[in-house]
Amino acid sequence: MKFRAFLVQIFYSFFGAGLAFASEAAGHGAAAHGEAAAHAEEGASMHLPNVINILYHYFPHQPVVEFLHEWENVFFALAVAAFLAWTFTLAARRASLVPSGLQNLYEMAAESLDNFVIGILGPRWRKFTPFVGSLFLYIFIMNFAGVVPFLKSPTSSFGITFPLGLSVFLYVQFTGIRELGFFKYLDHLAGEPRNAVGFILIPLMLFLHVVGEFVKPLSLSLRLFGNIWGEDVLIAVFVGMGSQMPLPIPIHFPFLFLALLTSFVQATVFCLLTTIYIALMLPHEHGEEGHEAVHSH
Amino acid sequence: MNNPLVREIIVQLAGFGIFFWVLKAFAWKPILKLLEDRRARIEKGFQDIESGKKEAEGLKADYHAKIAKIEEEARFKIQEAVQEGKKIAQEIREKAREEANDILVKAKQNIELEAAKAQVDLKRKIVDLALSAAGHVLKRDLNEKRQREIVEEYISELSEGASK
Repeated sequence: MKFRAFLVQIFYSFFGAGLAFASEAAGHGAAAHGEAAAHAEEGASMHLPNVINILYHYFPHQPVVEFLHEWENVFFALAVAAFLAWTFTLAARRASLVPSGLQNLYEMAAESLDNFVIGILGPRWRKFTPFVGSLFLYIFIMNFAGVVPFLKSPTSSFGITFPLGLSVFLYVQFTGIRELGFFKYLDHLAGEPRNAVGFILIPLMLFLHVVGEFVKPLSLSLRLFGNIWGEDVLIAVFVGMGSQMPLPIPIHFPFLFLALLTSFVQATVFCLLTTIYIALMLPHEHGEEGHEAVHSH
Repeated sequence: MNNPLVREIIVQLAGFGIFFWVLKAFAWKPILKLLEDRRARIEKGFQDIESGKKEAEGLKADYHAKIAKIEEEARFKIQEAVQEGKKIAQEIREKAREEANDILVKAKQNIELEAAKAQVDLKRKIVDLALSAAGHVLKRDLNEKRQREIVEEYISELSEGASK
């Protein structure tokens, strides 16, 4: 189970980063150049210095640095994925029955995430823990990376959060087809018509459901991106203000606690909503109460 | 130091330093305690299982020892009963033998008595026979009491002679 979770973690991390590559490639180029120009003009920017933009500041014409600068968010997303994979490997390497150190920490995290998923979906659906748990750890570390000097929150970029939302969307649709079967899945999208009114309303219900499904990844990714970007900008502005004082003062430090809280809350919200989307797609007869509760929200 | 980027880095490092220090001072211990509690709880769980296992093994060994002891005792009691039975059988046999001997002795005595009786009867009959025979032979009328004494004397002599 542990090993499977680990594999899912690695797969997911790289899958997310891969999608990020694809979406970044579409719209990043122009934006990156505009950003660099704006940075040069403003002096103190809306972004904190990180290892890549520091390198870019000093070696702007080095091809490697240019490449890294262009793919900055993807680089940090991959770095976080690699960090998680590495630390999970370390934790699992000397696994003992009585856990200590890193193993203990990750086991506690896995246990809490398992309880989180079971609390919403019920023990029958704990097989979703690896997916939701990996998402949580990945997003939380990415969010928190913005607080650590020389790093950057990849989630402050829509190019990273949208693939995350998209992967949730794909996973939820895949889960729906797998758990309900293709025809029941269509029936679900058509609003489960059982009488004449239901059948008449099929076009409307289908439209609403399809739009609803497509809005989910958008709302997930925009929420995460907006919050983390806002938090990073806030910190960056205060760092900028502190650095422009005669004696540099870290007036931004209270916001680091806020960032820690936001990182945790946003990762939790993302995973909570993912779990709820999965719950909405699962067969109704299992966990009818949960389903109704979810609908009433 | 006048480079805005360097100043930003310094401010960011200082801020992170303070953030880290505050977390270390206030959050580190509870987190470590949480982890330690979890480790201790798991360890205790395993220790409980281990001690339960040992206890069960001890009980099993005790149980086996007790069963062995009970079996030993039962075997001993059976042996004792067998010995007792053998002893009783021996006693019964000896008693029977003694009784048989007694019966034999009594029978012998009876036989001897009967024989003695028969001898006396025989003697009397012989005397009678002899007397009648002698009376016929001698044609002498002797006093009957005297005759009897003479014959008995004669028979005694005869029997003495025979026993010699």
